Amino acid sequence: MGEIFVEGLTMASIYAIVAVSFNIIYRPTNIFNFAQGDLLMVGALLAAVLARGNSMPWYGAAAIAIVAVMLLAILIDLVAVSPVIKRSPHGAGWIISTLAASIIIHEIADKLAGPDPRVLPAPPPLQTSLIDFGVFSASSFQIGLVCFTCALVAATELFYRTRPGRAVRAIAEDREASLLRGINPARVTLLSFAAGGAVAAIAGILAAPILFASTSLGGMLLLKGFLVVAVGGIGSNSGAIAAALIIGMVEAATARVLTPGLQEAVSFAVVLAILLVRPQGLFGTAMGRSV
Amino acid sequence: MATGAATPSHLIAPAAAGVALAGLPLLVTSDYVLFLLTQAAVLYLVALGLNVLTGYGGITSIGHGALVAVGAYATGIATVDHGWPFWGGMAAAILSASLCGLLLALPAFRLSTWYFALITLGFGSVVSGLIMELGWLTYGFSGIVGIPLPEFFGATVAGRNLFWLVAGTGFGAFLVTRNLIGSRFGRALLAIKENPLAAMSAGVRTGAVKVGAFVYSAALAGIAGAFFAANQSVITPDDFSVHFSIYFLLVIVLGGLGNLHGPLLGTAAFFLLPYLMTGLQEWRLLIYAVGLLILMIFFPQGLAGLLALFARRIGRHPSPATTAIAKAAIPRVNGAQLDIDTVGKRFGGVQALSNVTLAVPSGTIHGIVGPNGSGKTTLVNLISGFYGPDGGEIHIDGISSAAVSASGLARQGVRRTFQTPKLIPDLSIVENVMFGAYSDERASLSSIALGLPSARREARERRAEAMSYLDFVGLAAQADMSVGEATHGQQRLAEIARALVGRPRLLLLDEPAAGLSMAELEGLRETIAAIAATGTTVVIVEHHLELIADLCARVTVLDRGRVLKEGTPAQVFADPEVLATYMGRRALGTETA
Repeated sequence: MGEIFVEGLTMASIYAIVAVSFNIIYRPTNIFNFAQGDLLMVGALLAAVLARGNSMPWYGAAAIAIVAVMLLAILIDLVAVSPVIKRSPHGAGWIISTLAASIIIHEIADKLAGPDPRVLPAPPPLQTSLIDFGVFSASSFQIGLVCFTCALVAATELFYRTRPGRAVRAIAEDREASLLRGINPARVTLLSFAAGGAVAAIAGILAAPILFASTSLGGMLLLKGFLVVAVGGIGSNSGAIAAALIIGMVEAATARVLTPGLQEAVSFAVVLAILLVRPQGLFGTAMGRSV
Repeated sequence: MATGAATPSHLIAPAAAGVALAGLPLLVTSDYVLFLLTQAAVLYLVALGLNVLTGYGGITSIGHGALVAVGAYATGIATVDHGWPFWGGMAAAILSASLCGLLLALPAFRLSTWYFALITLGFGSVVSGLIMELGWLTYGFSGIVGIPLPEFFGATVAGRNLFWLVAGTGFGAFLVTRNLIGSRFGRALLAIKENPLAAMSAGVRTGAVKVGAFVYSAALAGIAGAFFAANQSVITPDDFSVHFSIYFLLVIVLGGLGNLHGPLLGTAAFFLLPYLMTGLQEWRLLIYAVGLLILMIFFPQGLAGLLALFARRIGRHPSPATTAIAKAAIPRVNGAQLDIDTVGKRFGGVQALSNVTLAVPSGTIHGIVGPNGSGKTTLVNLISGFYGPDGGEIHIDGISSAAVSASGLARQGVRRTFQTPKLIPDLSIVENVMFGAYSDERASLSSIALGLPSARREARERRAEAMSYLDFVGLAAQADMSVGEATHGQQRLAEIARALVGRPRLLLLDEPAAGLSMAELEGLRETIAAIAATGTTVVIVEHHLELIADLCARVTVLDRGRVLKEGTPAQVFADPEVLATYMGRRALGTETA
């Protein structure tokens, strides 16, 4: 029981960070970046390669990886998102173009890095070795991960209360009207891709000590992140935490009680069931002002 | 364009293509090439369904390969393990694929486009996981071997005959798809993609249409899956990798999203590619993705768009100007009585409307004026059911509209126009107007799909009806124009005609005069007066006070969400308080000076 709880909580933290990275881009743009999983994967792989054999301090490797992923996210916006939105602002062409970007990044990473998983240690001084707490055992990394996730969500929510944060929300409500108020939506889109990319890289770097850094990490966490935002309500970070907990626990329980092979199918079924009852997600709001 | 009126000229191209394709196998001697041609026909079936969903409906599916897998495995399991004949296997394939489609689409009643993309992506991943996990059913890696060929009266359909069977099915599916797309269902699907609010205001149950499109395209994927299994005779998990789903997206994007002939063009241009690229196996997905990205950025209309552009260059015709107004007579209706009782609406911290009460007797014209932000459009949105009020009640002919959705109210004869005209860009002006009659059309889905005479007759009648309304608003000469070619004023009039086709008992016009030229304004005035003369109750939100004063029996002035004044135009516009609020005190000062 304790194992299910700790494992569920750990995975929930990672899923929640991925979901936050989706939300950061979604809130001002109403775009769900399909390349987000691959950004995360590049972050994890790059950090693992740079930090290999302690050739570079852990935090140095992480910082370089985060910056590189931010640049990559900006590139995605410039190449695959902005030109498509410019052509038809209300169309869904960005789904196909960011999907294409995702596959391109994945395939190139696959050719460069190969399919073998790489090891990335936990950020020092944290360890992945388990400490026995009696009722349950957890590693110092797992505890740090949970704390970091809470801090990240709190910081993101605080940001939306600041002046630039309110500008982001204004764009979400009315892109054209915000132009009149001196907010440049194209620039905010670019910045949110950069910020969303950075958080995605962090998600990858923090997932790697547990799940290993490999090219398959992206696709897997893209789906988990999606299930979380779908259940939590897209754009809602508190919803993301609740949904991540549900999905993390369902998976951990499935793996213990049934078989790990069924994890995906069971959590997918749970998500479909929740969405049938609440299509807008647990914390999402139904259609707002739109006319 | 290719939205498919059932005119013979539209049949020439597909018929020619059909004959050419049917003749193709006669030239082919190699069994392998014949196999590939059959496979291409199978892939065409999938692309055809995906184009309905993604091209017309704007719902991107990244899991169509998995639906084909479900169909293929259902066929394999039913025929090999349970000894069913092929056709039984196909029935199982259609059923299971449609069921999966239904399940995936059901939460869709209120969800947006990206949801489908990811849920189908997830579905693809789950299906390939389950194929491996449920080895007792699917035989895991080794796959299902020995799937039988279809039989007709004891004769096995193989080789060329199999190609003809699959290609014939493809042609049949094309005809059904064409009939559906050209009908009200196709217009509704396009409206949902381009302008969901317009769809609701025409009375479309948007969720049901989306689910229907999903199930239809899943059923086609199921049929394709059955043929796929029979043609290969062996199916393994490798056949249904992620490449497979991406491939279909690429085919329809290359062919032209939302074009009837896109899937054929895409398949024809592309079906050999996977087989030609066997040497480049490991680069395949990368090449697909680069192709998709380039197409989406530089040429989202695909090959069909390119051909259409070419055709338009050749046959360019000048666009006629707006003609005389209100010529044709339109049928009378019984106008509704509208009662609004102490209604309020909040948006977050903003009280958009509070305590609004007004009554509009049937058959009259009522004006609502007020400065920007005074809550006029919010009031229209409440009456038309796009928002629910936070307090108070709205009655139409004495019946509370609280529990009725926007599309439900539209079906009951409450129609509206929007501040910025919400027409459907892919349809012509007359097709846009026909769309307004969505909820009146009676032809059944099956008679439309099969193109039965009754459905065709109704389609003709609807077009004639739409034409009479276009004539009524003075747009008869613009009927076949595309929305993009029409001026702003013409678009407004077309939107009014679309609302009128629904025989509204209550018509809500949201700033109909905005952006009109002087001549168009005069036409609008006559049109609105003529509408009221047919019995319809009209509520106009407008800044153009002269128009209001000319037309309206009574006027309500809103200010910051409250009713400031109500009365005849003469009373209201002479009221010092109204003048002060509406014009601003300074403007008033200069006017009296």
